[in-house]
Amino acid sequence: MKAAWNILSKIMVKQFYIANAGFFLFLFLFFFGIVQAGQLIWYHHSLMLAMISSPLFLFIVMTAWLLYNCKCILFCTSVIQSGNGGFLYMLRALPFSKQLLLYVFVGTVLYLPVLAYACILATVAYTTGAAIVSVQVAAYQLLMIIISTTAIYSAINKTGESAVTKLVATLGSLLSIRIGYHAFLITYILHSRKVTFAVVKLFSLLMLSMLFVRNSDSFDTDLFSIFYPLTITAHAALVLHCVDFNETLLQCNRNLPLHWLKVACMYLLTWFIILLPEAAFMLINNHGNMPVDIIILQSMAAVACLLLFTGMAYACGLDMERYLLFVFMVYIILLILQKSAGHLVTLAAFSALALAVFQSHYYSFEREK
Amino acid sequence: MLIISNYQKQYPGTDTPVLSITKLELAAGCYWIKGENGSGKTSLIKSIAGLLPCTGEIAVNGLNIRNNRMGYTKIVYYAEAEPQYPGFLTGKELMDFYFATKKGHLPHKLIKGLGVDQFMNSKTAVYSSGMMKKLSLVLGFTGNPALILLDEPLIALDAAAVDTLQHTITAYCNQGISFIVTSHQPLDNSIVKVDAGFIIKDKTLLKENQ
Repeated sequence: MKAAWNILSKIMVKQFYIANAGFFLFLFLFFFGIVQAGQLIWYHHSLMLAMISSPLFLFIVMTAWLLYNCKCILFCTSVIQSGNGGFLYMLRALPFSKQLLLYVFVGTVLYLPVLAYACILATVAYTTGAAIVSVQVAAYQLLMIIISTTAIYSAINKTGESAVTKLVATLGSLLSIRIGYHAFLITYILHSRKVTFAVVKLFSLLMLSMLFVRNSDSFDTDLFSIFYPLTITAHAALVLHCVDFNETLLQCNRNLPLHWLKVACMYLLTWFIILLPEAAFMLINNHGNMPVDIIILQSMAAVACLLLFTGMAYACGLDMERYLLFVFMVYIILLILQKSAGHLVTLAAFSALALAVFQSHYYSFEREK
Repeated sequence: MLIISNYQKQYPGTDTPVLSITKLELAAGCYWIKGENGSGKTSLIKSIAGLLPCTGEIAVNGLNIRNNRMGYTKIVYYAEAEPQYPGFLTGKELMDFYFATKKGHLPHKLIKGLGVDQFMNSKTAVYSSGMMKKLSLVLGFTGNPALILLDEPLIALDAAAVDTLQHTITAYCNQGISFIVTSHQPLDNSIVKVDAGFIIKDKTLLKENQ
């Protein structure tokens, strides 16, 4: 039994959390990163009270939980049906009760992030006198675990597809998002560059927390103008990875009638999405320390700055040393320009320069040997 | 159909060019380029496809790659020797993307003939090298081509797929579409009529009987 759990935890649980690290990081930043630390409990308590008082809101949340459970089940069934998971059919030899226990464990551990939140919600509902909502939430969690356990059991024990697996697969295919050209880079980052993304975002949000949260009472604009460009510069690593990806696995795109401006727009959109958490963090935790229009201008200049890094990655043929030198120079120029010429001029200058560098180097790009 | 003049390809950080072509004019047809490993076949074909920058002029049906890149890439297609695609994309997503950019039509016969319809909804991460090659060939035929560049099209393909591909080349040739093929393995001349063969020797391109 212990040996079987060891195998399942490695092949399903561990792999699930590794494969979805980007997804969890995004959720974590979304739920916990954009709110000031002191207001976190109050914020989530208010959210829970809203769920308890509004049946529609609770229904939406429960649908999201169901979708997450489908994601977990799809992952497990795909592991079982893949070549690597073929040996899991050996588990059929275990007695029914032991198998069931194993699959309950797997289903529960995969569902744990939702389960923990739902348990707190049920407790809050109970303590605020909404016992029915509390029971509903608890019963729903039980149902989710029963569904996942049944699906895993069926996938391992049935030769044909079970009704639950078919239902989940149908749901999965209905919900699967088609990845279009403009989503290639963001998908690449969340799929293959999770660790770099996580490190850059943690660094970036740590810097902004120091500026906007820890020193909110004595906010220093000079410190901001030094450290904010530094957080943007940290994103240069992601830029280099993306250009490398685009010129390796998507190199054939050069044989497609894609105008350089369209390629630049794909990069621009990616950098805009990537920098959204920083912009949201600054706007939410600003508390009047900086004018909102300056924050928006800074955020737009940051997107232009990443496009400039992109052009430079092309200009130096993805040569790391030259690229880093360019990035450092851009950081210095950004500091000087913001201080001496203002935010609007910086934005205009960086946008024009970024497009010029990209346009002049995109078609002539050749990787340095 | 294809005009190349003063072509030279030199890689950054190297002293000498890998290939030089003073003048080459090809009428519509099917052409086979041969040469030893590293002779510059892929460099030439990638330059014509627009994947590698080079000096000189390359034009197909009057469209110059430098002056009219969009128009040029709408009619010049390419299938690479060892294709690689992002593992998180499905073959269908790539086909849709190529179709959306190149317009024209999907090569349904080739898709079915190579069996790509059987696996196109799976992510390319699970494809074998043969499946990747088949997908790359389908992508190379997607749209409305005037010239298709096939770099080692026969490697990694099973016998049935080789047969399907050769019949497709012939069918396209009969419609006036030109091919430039680099291959170490000969095409079956009972199926494909090759108009001329070229060999890359001493860093230049020579007609085979020269």
